[in-house]
Amino acid sequence: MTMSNSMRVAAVALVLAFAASACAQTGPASGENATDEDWPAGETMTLIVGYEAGGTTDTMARALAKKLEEELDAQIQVVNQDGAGGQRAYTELANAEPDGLTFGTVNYPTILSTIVDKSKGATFTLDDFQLVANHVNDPRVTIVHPDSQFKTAEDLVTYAKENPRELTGATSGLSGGGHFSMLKLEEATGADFAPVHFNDGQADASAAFLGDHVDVYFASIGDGLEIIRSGEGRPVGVAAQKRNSLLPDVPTYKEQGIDIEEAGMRGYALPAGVPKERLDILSDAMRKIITSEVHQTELRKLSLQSEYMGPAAYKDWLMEQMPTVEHFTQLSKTDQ
Amino acid sequence: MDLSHLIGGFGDVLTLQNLLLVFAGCFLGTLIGVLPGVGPVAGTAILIPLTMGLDPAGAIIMLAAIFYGSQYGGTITSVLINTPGEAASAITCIDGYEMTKQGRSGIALGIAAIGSFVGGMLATVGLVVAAAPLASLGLEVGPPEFFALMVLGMSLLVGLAGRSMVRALISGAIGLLLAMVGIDPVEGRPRFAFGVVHFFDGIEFVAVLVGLFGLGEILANLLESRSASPTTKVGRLLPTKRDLQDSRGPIARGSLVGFLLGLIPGMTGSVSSLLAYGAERRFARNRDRLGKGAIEGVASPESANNAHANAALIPLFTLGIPGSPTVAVLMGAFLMNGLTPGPTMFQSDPDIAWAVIASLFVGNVVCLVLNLPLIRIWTMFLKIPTSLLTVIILVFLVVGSYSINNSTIDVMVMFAFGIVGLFFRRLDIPLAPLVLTLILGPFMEESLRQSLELSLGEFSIFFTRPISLTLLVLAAVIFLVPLVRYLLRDKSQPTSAMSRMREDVEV
Repeated sequence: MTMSNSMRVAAVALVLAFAASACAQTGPASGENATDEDWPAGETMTLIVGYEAGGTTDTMARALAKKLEEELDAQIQVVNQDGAGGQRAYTELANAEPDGLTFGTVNYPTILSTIVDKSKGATFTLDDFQLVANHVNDPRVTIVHPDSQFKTAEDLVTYAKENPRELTGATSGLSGGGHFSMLKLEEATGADFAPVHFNDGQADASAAFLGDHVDVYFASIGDGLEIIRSGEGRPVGVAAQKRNSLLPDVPTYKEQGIDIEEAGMRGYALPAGVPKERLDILSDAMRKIITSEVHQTELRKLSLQSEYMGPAAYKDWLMEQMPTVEHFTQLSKTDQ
Repeated sequence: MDLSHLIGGFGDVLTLQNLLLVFAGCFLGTLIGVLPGVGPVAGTAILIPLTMGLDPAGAIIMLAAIFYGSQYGGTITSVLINTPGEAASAITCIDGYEMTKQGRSGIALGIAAIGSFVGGMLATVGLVVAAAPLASLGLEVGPPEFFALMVLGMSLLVGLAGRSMVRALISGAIGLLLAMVGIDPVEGRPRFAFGVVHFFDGIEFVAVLVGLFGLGEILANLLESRSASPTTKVGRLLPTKRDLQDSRGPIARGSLVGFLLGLIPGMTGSVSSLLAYGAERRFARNRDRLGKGAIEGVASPESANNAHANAALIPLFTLGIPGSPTVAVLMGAFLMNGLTPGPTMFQSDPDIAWAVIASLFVGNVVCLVLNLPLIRIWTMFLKIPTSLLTVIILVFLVVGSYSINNSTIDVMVMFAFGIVGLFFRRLDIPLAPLVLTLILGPFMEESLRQSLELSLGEFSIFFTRPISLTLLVLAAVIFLVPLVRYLLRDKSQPTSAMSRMREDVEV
């Protein structure tokens, strides 16, 4: 073996290593041409996604990023900072340079439950973010086995009231949206379920439901749609004001006399302190994409439904939810 | 069973464009597997943008190829530089690196490629022949069964002990303690995280393993002023007839373990390779050779992790459930291309579904064909002068541990555990038990607590369900047999306990 050959191998290895590290770069790019009219054309932006690649939030964010690149004529690097239920990414985002080039995903309810849960020691509040747009509204749906005796929400609630803690309910994580929808149903009706938490996410919860290890699945529509469509699960109620366009035949809880609402709301935020002009550019671009017919069709293929909220409306909505989330976060830890 | 769909699928794959995509995917995947830390999950995700612009079938075919290509590649650094390229290849370090020291690196890589091929093919045949019943078999495993399986896994600790049980238990206990770091799954409070958000999900075990094995080895070599490259002798590149014969059993057992575990949603390939290795400890004909460079110790776990990876596609295709994190990435790719994996996919987009399945067959062949000649190139790595090689490996370790989560904390974890690894080597504490408990620990806790949530706190749930009970009894037998044997032996030699302890100290 000659030296040159081994050097070549070494060189290839090094190049490969640096290529990979470049792919994973997170450093903020420069934003010097702040007064430039066509900002952010030609810049490289970073989109921090708080969940793992391939998950619902990631898929949603990447779909938007692709459109946003065309709209803004900029490069967007998607960086997955998954971990601690999004807290890692929120921390990163709150501390990022407020130059408008770094933005990140925001997931309700975790963004709020992380802030109100003192044991999580969050170093940020909602004021550390400049909200840009809400993208997706993914309501919670309660699913039971198709061969069960429960046909309606009332059947389920009546049984769960008369037989406290007999029905087990799968959630995709403690203090997550699925768990909240269970707690809200319990509080509104006096029903009592035994929660089983699948903290690694919806895949495990779906598997436990399909394997008949739990009685009820407190899913989101995005997570449960395939189970419903294939006939493996029967939806008894959607926790939303209106019927969902993906499940037009499934009544809401409200229609059935139970006034509860719980949805996964997913959107985007900048760190606080980004110049107003830049916020406007970004939020205009997002509004255009999110409200476009083409994109909505694309989202429906991902079993998702869009709901646009602008910077102010989005913040107001989140602030409104704060007391409720605080209440249910407390409750979620005591109701075992 | 109707084969016409599959044949149609082959027709779609065997076009020039799709063949090139499979080939490119396998190659890229192998490279990704080679980088420590950048495992299949991160690697597949990083390369998703590459497939944008392709038609849906092409995009998914290529991503699937990247996905199993990375399973092949993960072994290479395990064998050559004692650094797992991905978590599922961690246990391969033990015998694979010993083989390299003996100048048998080419054979180790060859058998890994062959084992991976067999495992992957078997799982793909399973997908075609009996996907639906197999998937429901996997669903039978609920939290109590999962827990029992983890107990069975933990019982393998006894087999991994080597010379000193005390040291194995020390190693195992440290692994369990590390596994305790993170948010409590039921109460939601962070444990032992010391306010570091990064540790809320636990200590990144890939960083721990990369440090323990890779950096630990480098440090130990430096201190003993041994050359960092174990040998420049490469020897034979392909396994001999004898090697193949020795590997037949392990590949079959490994494939079976990986295949069955791959069907269970939530199980990861690293568990499969650990259990397959443990099974060899128990069943291999030359089990005493294990740990000293036995080909069985490479063949079995490598077959297992590839069988696992391919079997994990079964719940995805039939139920729409991604069985492992990597498959979740693949599911994302399906969704992005407008396909919803699950039972309805075979009605709505049968062409694409079957083209992807056919591409799995083609891809496994391509990976084998690609990997055998590449062995020569990989083993050239060992000929790099030591001073240079050490630096390259260090770059690998740092870049690799950083890219697991894009976090410098993981790099620090890697360095810290490099030092721990050095002490382990100095004190002759085996690494395998730590790997076992660190990987299985979190699964065991989560499933234990889910089971108790299901049963409202009744432990009887583990003994009233047949699968769970069987697995627990099996674990008890595995655990007790050596213990009884050990106690009996002690009785005949009254001073042996003393002498064993002395042995422990002197080694």
